[in-house]
Amino acid sequence: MLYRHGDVLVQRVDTLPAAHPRPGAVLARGEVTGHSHRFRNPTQVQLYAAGTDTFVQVLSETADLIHEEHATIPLPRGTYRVWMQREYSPEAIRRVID
Amino acid sequence: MRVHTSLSGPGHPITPHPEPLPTPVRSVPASEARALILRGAPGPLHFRGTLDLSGVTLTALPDRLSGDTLNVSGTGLDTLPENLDVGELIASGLPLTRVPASLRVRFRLTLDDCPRLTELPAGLSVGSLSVQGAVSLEALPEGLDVCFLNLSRCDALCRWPRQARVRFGHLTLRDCLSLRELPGWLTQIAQLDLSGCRGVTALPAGLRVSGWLDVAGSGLRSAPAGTPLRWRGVQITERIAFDPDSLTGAEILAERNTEVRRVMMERIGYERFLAEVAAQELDRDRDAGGERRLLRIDLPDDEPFVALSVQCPSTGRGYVLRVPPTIRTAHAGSAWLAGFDDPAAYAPVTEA
Repeated sequence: MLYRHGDVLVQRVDTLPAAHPRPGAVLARGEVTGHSHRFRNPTQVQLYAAGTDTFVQVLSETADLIHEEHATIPLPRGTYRVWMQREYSPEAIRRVID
Repeated sequence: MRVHTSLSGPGHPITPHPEPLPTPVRSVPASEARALILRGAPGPLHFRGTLDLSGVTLTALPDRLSGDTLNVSGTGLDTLPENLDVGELIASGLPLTRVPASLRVRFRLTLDDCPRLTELPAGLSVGSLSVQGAVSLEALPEGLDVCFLNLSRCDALCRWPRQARVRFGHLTLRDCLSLRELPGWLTQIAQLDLSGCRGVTALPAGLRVSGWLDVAGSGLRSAPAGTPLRWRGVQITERIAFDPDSLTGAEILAERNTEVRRVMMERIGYERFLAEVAAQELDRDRDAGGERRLLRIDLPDDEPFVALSVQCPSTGRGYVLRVPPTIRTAHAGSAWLAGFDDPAAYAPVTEA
């Protein structure tokens, strides 16, 4: 199951790889606007860092993924990989600035 | 339970219920205060920490409730008790029409999305006041004294007090559709968000904005020279804000910051941009945001500019995002942007 929340992508995975727990409930913060893709209730999720990858476990039945300018996506209980949309440039592929 | 009294000295024997004031105040952790309030215990009551009653159905709070942080959002309360005295009060989504003059909030008062709120007490003084979405609020109180003031989506707001202060802080007036002017007492401010204030066409002569001024969709056609400008959060130049006709498609292609490029495209309009740069349509289909087009622009002495023109399903805002020149379909463009080299693997269940 793949979800797209603006420039953030969230895909359900079967298992959590070896990863370190990470505090907070913010998946991505806009570098210019300061707006963030985050979970409404931080107690319903646990974030993990695995190398450069981010994972999130939804610990309750659902957890609302919110942002100032995007509709809310309720994510069902489970484990997800999280990454950012990319954009092509001839020099390098760089992350879109939200 | 600890009993606090402040009586001391001769002639004031400490008794379990001394009268007259000061009255002994029970000081309890927030969790204990929560249980007492849910049992209907009367005040006075002092709590320590964050007392979160949000979402609980309540008909009243005890009088003379005091403490650190109180959240009563979504409780259904239609009045706040007298002599409420807290560090922070979050009272969003309530059917309040007014708040009592006896209310004391030291740091932050949040009354967001209280659609019936029409009146705030004169002389209200608090560090941060947020009343966004108070769609019935037509005026602010005389003598208001704050550092941060958020009035976003106060559709009816049209009158300012004769005297008030927003001291060197932030004033957010996003989408205040009935506003026609800013008050003369506003002389210095760090951040001013006028985005969506279509009726505001000028700033007060004496106003100095030291941080930034957001002018997106406002009625402003100019700003004092040197004022840092924003367009819905994106830092932009005076030319992008006030002289979009002078922008060219070539300049937009050369802009490296994707957000600035998006604003520049919005300012000149996608149609003009794409016509000006003579885009060739490679493919067209629909996604959750509406029409999706894959466009190609040949560049001299460079590889072609191939981009996907899409709309955000939540805001409807248009984006043009560059993809590798090898992409041939709009779907493959979306898939590539999402990180999928194999377009067949890209099938989102929800897009927002």
